[in-house]
Amino acid sequence: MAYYVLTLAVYVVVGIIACWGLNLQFGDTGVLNFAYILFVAAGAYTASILSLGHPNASSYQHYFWGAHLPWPIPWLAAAVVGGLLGLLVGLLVLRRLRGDYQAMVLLVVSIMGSYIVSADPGFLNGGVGLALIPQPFKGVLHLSQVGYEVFYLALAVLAAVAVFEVVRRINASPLGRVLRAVRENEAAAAAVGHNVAAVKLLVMVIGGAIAALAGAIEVQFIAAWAPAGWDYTETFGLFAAVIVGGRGNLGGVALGALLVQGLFLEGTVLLPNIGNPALIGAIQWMSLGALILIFLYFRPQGVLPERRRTYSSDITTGRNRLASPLAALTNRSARG
Amino acid sequence: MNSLISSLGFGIVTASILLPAAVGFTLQFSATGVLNIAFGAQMTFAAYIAFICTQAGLNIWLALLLAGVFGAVFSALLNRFLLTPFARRGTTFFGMVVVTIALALLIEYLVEIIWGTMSVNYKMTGTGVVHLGAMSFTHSQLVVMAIGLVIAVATHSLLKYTRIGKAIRAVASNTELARSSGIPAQRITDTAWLISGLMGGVAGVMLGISLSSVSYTMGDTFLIEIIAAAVLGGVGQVYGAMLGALAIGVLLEESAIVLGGAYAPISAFAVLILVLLVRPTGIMAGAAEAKGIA
Amino acid sequence: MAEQLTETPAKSTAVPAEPEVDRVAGPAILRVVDLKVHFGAVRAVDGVSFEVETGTAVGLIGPNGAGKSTALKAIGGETSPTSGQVVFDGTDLAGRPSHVAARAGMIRTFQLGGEFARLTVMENLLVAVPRQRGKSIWGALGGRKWWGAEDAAEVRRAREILARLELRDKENEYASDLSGGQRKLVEIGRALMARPKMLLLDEPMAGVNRSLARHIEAALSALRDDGLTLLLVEHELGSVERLCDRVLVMAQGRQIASGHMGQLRSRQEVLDAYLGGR
Repeated sequence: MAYYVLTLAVYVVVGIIACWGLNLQFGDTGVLNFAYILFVAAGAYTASILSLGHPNASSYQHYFWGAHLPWPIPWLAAAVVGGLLGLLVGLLVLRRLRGDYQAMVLLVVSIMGSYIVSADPGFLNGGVGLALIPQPFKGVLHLSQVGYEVFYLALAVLAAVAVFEVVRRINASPLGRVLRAVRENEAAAAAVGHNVAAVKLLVMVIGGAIAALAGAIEVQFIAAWAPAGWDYTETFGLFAAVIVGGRGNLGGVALGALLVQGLFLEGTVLLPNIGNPALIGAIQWMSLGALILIFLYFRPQGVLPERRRTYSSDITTGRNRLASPLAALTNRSARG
Repeated sequence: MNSLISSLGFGIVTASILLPAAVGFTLQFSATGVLNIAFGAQMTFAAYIAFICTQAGLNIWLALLLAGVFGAVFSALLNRFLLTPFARRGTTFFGMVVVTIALALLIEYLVEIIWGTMSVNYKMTGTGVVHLGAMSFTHSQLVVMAIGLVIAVATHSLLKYTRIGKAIRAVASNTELARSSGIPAQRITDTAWLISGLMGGVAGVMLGISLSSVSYTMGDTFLIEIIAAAVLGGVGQVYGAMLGALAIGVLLEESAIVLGGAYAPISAFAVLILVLLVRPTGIMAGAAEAKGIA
Repeated sequence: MAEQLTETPAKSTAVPAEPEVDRVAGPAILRVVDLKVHFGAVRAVDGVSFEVETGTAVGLIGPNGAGKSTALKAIGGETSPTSGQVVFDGTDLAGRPSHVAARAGMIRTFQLGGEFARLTVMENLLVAVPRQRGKSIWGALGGRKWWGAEDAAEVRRAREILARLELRDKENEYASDLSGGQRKLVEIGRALMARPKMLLLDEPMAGVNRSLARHIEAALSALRDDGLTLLLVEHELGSVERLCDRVLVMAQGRQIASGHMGQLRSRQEVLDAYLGGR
C-alpha cells in the first residue's frame, strides 16, 4: 500500500510541475500550446539517453547517442533541451502565424514529433520506446523498494519547489503583469510597447523547460518511455487539470493536477481493476471530457480562481495585500 | 517511375476523402469561428453508423448516405445544445477549442465503449480492379473518387448559386459584410454545422471504405491531415481547402513511395510547415487579405 | 511609379517626387508623407501627408469610411502601410510593428475594447511602464528585492494619474467592471504611464455619456496644455473645435482640407464630404 501511495505521490508531483509550466503559457499568457506533451517527451528522452550510457552498451534497444551521467545532469540537460525546443517551435509557430493557426499548427507539430520518433527505430528505439533507464543513486544507496521511493519522492519535491519558486516570482513580478496583459489583449499590449511575439517566445522557452523537467523526473522513475505514453491527447489531460484547478492560480493549478492527474488518471490505473481495463480507460477519458465541459460552463475560472492583485496603500513596504482569505492558503506569491 | 504514377492514383483517392472533410472543416470554422477538434471523432462516429447499417444488410453506398445524414443531424444538434449555450456564456475562442477537445474525448471513447478497440470492416460485395495506365483502382475506390468530385462540384454550386451559400461565404470572409445579407446569423451557423457534419460523415465512411477497416481512433488520426489541408489552403478558403486536400493527399502517397510508409506523414507536415513559413496565411489567402481581414 | 519612369531618367527614379506635405510652422514631431494603405482593390488610405507640431493637438475628422482610423492604425504600426513614410521624432517608423512605435514614444488608444479586461485598473496602468527592472525575465527572477522599490514608485505615479482622471477609487476594480467611458479614461491613464511624447487617440469620446465625455475632453485639454502632442480621430466636432489647434479633413482615403475648425465649417468641400459620406 505504501508503495502505491508513494508511486501516486511521485506522479502527482510530476503532474503539478507540468501543469505549472502549462499554466505559465495558457493560464498566464493565453498561449494555447497543443504540443505541450512533446516538451515533456523531449525531456524524458533527454534524461533517458543521458543516463542509459553509450548506445552500443545494449543490444536490445537502439538510440542515436548516449552517455552515462550522474544526477542531476540528466534533469538539468532535459530542461535545457526543453527550453531550446520551445525556442525552435516558438520561432516556427508564434512569430508569423495568426492565433487560430498557431493552435492548429502546434497540434500538428505534436503529432509530427511522435511520428518522427516512431518512424525511425535507430533514433530513440522507435515505437517500442526506451526501457531500463537507470534511476539516480539506485545502485549506491542500497535502499528497500519503499525506501528508494521515498528518496525519489524527495528529489521530485525538491524540483517542484524550485519550479514553484520560478513561476511564483514570474507571477508576482511586473513581467507577470505583462504576461496577463498579453493574454487579455495582444493589440493593446503591443500598443503600450510590449513585443508580444517575444513575450510568447519567452513563455514557450520557460514552459518548455519546465515540461521537460517534469518528463525527466517521470522517466527516471518509471524507467521506460515510448511514443504511446505521450500521445497528443495527454496534453488535454494537463489542460483539464489547469482549467479545473483554476488557471492563473498556482495553488489552484496544483490542486487541479492532484485531482485530475493523480486521483483521476493515475490513481485508477494503480488501484485494482474492476472488469475490462480498456473500458475503465475509456470511462476515465469520457469523465475527463465531461469534467472539462462542466467546469467551462458552470465555473470557467476553476475551483480556485485567479487572485485579484491589489496594492496596499502603504506602498513603501512593497507588499501586496491579499484579496481573499482562500488565496492566503493557496498562493503565497504575494508575500514576496 | 511506374510506382510514382501508381501512387499518384492512391494520392487522388486519399485526396477525394480529404476533400469533403477539409471543405466541411474549413467552412464551419470560418462561418462560426469555432475550431472544431471533435471533427475527427464525429467522422469516426458516422463511420460506425454506416457499419451498423451494413450489418443490418444495407448496401454500403446507402449506408454512406445514411451516415452522412446522421453526421449532419448530430453536428447540428451539438451546435444547438452544446456549442451555442457556451457561446452565449461568452466563452472565448480558446475556450471553445477546449470545449471541442472535451467533446472529442466524449465521442471517441463513447465509440470505444460501444464498439470496442478492435477494428471492424464494411461488408462489401466483389470489388473488381480497373487499370488506367500504371494506376489501378478498385471499383470502390473509383466510387470514392466520384463522390469526392461530386462533393467538390456540389459545394461550388451551393456557395455560388444559393442564397444561404452566398451568405455563408460572406460570413466566412467578412462578418461585417454578412450582417447586411439579411440572413439571420443563427441560420448561417446552423447550416454551416449541418454541412460540416454531412461532409465529415460522408468522409468518415469513405475513409473506412478506402482503408478497408474502421477503428475508434480512425478520424482522430485523419484530423491532422484535414487540418493540414485546411491550413495549407488558407483557413476559411473553401477552394483553398480543395487544393490543399489534393496537395496533401498526393504528397502523403508519393512520399510513402519515395521515403517509405513511416515517413509519409512527416514529409507532408514538413511541407505544410515550410509553406506556412513562406506564406503564413496559406496558399489561398490572397483573397482574404484583399478584404482586409487576414 | 510608372508615371515617374516616363518623366525622369532611369538614374533618379530612386528619388520619388516630394509630395505636397501639409507643413507646420514650428518643429514637427510627426511627419506623415504620402501614406497609403490598400487592402487589395480597396484604397482605405490613399496618399495622406501632414505634419504635427510638437505640443499641439491635431484632429482627424471626416465621414464614416474616410480612412481616419486606418490612417491612425498605420501611423501607430498596427496596420502596415502599403507605402509612405511615418517619420516620428526623426525616425521613419512606417511598417514597423506597434511596439516599436510605442517605445519611440507614440502611444495609441483604441476605439473599442482596448483595456485589459481581467486586470485591475492599477495593473492596467502598471503594464505600460517602460523599461522596468522586473519586466525582464532575469529581473523577475531576481525577486521583489530587485524590482520592488522601483515598482512602488510607479504605483505612486499611477495613483497620481488616477487621481487626476478621477478614478482613484476604482484602482482595484477589474477593467471589465467599469463603464465604457471609465475604460476610455483607464486607457488614457495607461498611455500616460508609458511616458509618451505623443498620443494617438481613436475616438476617445465615442459612445460615452455626455458628462463623462466632458471629463475626457477636459483631461485631454489639460494634457495638451502640459505640452503633450495629441493626434485624435473624433466624430464630436464640438470637442474637436475646443481641443484641436488644427484639423485635417479626410474623405474616401484622401485628405481634402486642413485648418482651424472654425474656418473649415464654412468650406464647401468639407460640407460636401460630410453630406456625400452619409
